[in-house]
Amino acid sequence: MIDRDRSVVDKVILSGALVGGAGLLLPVFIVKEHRLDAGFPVSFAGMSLPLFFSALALLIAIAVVGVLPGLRRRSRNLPAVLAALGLFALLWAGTGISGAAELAEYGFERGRVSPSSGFWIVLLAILIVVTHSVKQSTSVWLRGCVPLAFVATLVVLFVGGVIDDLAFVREYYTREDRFVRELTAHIGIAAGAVAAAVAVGVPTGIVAYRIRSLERPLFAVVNGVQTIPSLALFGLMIAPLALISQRFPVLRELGIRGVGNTPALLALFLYALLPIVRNTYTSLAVMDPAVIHAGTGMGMTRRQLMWQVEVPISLPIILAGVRVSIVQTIGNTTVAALIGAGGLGNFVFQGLGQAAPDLIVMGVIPIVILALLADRIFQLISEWAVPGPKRGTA
Amino acid sequence: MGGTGAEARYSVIEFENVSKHYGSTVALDDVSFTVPDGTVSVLIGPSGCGKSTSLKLVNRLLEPTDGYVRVDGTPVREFPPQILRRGIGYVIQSVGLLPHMTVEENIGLVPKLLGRHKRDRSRRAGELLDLIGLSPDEYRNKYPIQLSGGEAQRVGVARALAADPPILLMDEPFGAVDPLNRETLQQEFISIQRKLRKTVIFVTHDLDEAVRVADRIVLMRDGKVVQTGAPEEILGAPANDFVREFVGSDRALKRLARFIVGDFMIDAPSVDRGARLDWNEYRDFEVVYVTDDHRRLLGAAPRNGRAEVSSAGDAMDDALVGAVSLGSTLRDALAEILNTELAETPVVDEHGHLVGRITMTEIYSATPRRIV
Ligand SMILES: Nc1ncnc2c1ncn2[C@@H]1O[C@H](COP(=O)(O)OP(=O)(O)OP(=O)(O)O)[C@@H](O)[C@H]1O
Ligand SMILES: [Mg+2]
Repeated sequence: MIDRDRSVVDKVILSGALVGGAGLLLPVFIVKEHRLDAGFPVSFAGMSLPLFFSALALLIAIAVVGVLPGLRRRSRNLPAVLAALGLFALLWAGTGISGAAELAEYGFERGRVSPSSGFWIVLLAILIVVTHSVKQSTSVWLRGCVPLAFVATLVVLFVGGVIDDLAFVREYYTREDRFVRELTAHIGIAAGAVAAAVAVGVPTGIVAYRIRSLERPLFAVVNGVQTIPSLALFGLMIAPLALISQRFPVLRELGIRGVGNTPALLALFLYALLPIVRNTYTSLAVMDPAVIHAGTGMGMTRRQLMWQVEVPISLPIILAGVRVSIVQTIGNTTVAALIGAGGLGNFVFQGLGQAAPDLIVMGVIPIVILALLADRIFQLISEWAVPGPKRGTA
Repeated sequence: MGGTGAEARYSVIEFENVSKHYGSTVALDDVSFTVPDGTVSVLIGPSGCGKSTSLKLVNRLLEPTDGYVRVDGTPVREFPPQILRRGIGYVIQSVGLLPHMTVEENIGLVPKLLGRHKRDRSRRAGELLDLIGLSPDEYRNKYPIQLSGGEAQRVGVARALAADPPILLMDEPFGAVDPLNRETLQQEFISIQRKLRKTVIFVTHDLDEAVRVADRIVLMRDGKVVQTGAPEEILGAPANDFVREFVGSDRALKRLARFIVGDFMIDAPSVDRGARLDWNEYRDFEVVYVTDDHRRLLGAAPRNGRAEVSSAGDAMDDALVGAVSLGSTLRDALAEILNTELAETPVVDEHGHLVGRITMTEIYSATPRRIV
């Protein structure tokens, strides 16, 4: 399959390049005098011609990689990924620098630069090219490091002050302390929910496998939870918990209330369960009975069998479930802000309330980065933890 | 039990009136047989007749419903199961290599359970890979999914041998291999067994395999033992119609596979390639073999009604070069005879030296006949 893909034009990469080309013609950012100003748009060409042509050159390079299979086979699409990384840096740095220049030129001291359609479309193009290339790649290195390289680029630009005048960075600087608090809360809530889900989900998966009669009811419950929209589930948690906490003042003093962290953790925990329970169950169901037979026949004790055979064989599948759980929970935690749990979702909903898209973006970007980092780091951990022929040969 | 080289290796396995029921299914019904020390007993019979069940009773993966299974006179139920199993090599029907371990780690499994040092396990794995004909350098660090079915089965056998147990239980150890490789593996097993002298119960439903590797055959049907005996006994004197049908109408042919050419061959007439061939000297022979200076077989010179003297080299027919080796069976010899235009086949040793010949008379002499 991969061979056929490589022998012809890579349509996905090509269309990524075309999307990016279209983005180059649209306004990149809007210069505003103040937060609520409608502002005026600036295009790539308007920013600076060298910048425009560099971006165009990088897009053409990506398109060429998409058309010439020879370039893709040996280096596993690395040229396209590198060009996309260059474009990414160019986009952010260019917007930051020329945005600052525009503000200075017009003397907008409290002004700001809001990325516009061109910015987002080029970003989308980069996303298309990179996810496609990385997905096709068999190299652990590439799959693990490429997303991290993008995050690192952004962090460097941010720390270097290059993108300080971007609207959502401005939003960040006006509420730096709160940001750190909400970020910590976000991580804490998500980690707590996933940790609880692992603690409960793995044994549940084992029980579902071992006790046939419980398999269907258990899966009915965890599957059922997934079908409830997250907002509704958070809502559903409020009433019973409020009731319980009224009945039992002791619990109330422990912080268990209808709103806040408790219902959020509970709901997120329930969501996080399914991938873990399902993968634990699957890891046992697909285990070759011959392996257990052999282990027992060699003279392993029940405990040796568990730690030397069952756990190592099922671990990779369970870890994959935990990874899905983590990424999903980081996203869902955003919604938890609605019932007062805190987290980066607070910025998103505040932004929605004030019709301030910059504030929304400020909340969303770190969530995306968190999810991406968690996903990659976990992927790397599982690949190192799992023995077996290293991928790339398969 | 236990099984380090220094101990006495006396290990008899006995089944005494053993029955095994799974609920209402009777898997074994009053089974008795003995596997003498250092010999191979093959359990054979149709699918579902209780072969695997019998093996599992020996290492206590199952407990008998009735009767005793004994090792060296002690009922196995008196050994703690884990200790017992570590002293018995077990090759399971479906191989069962652990997918998360390398070949070396798989082979080192039982030694590790016995607390052997990593360095010793690694050296032992190397020895065993050599023994089963896989290059240690190449295979040591492979994972089971990187092996072919036949290679995996060899590793399964190596794993069973790793702790040098006195007893081996082998459940269709070569079941997943194509016929050609299967025969090679059987040959290897025979030569390994000749060196190691384990007490082996070997399960198969391939009669040819049984005839090749067995010292004794235990023929089973529906959980009962139908006949036990040396392969030539079972093939030569089937106890009843079931056995007769099971061993097949070609049982005489199969029986030939029990006899080694070296035990039956007679002297072969030969002349040097450069010498004169005077047919008057070989009046009683239809064929004279031509050899080189070192008595290596070059070919055969058939008489074809000739009586004159000629050079041996000229009389030799290049096409007639087939031969069997000393260790081949009479069945191979018969096949070779039928292959050539001659009514006999020469026998050579491992260096290609002519050492004798087999004619139809020798073949007949190994076959029980009422009228000779
Ligand atoms: N765990 C079990 N529960 C119930 N019946 C069983 C069980 N294991 C085996 N049996 C039955 O016991 C009988 C003997 O089984 P066994 O596995 O010993 O056969 P076998 O001779 O090894 O067959 P095969 O050549 O197919 O491997 C069969 O009828 C089988 O269906
Ligand atoms: Mg069986």
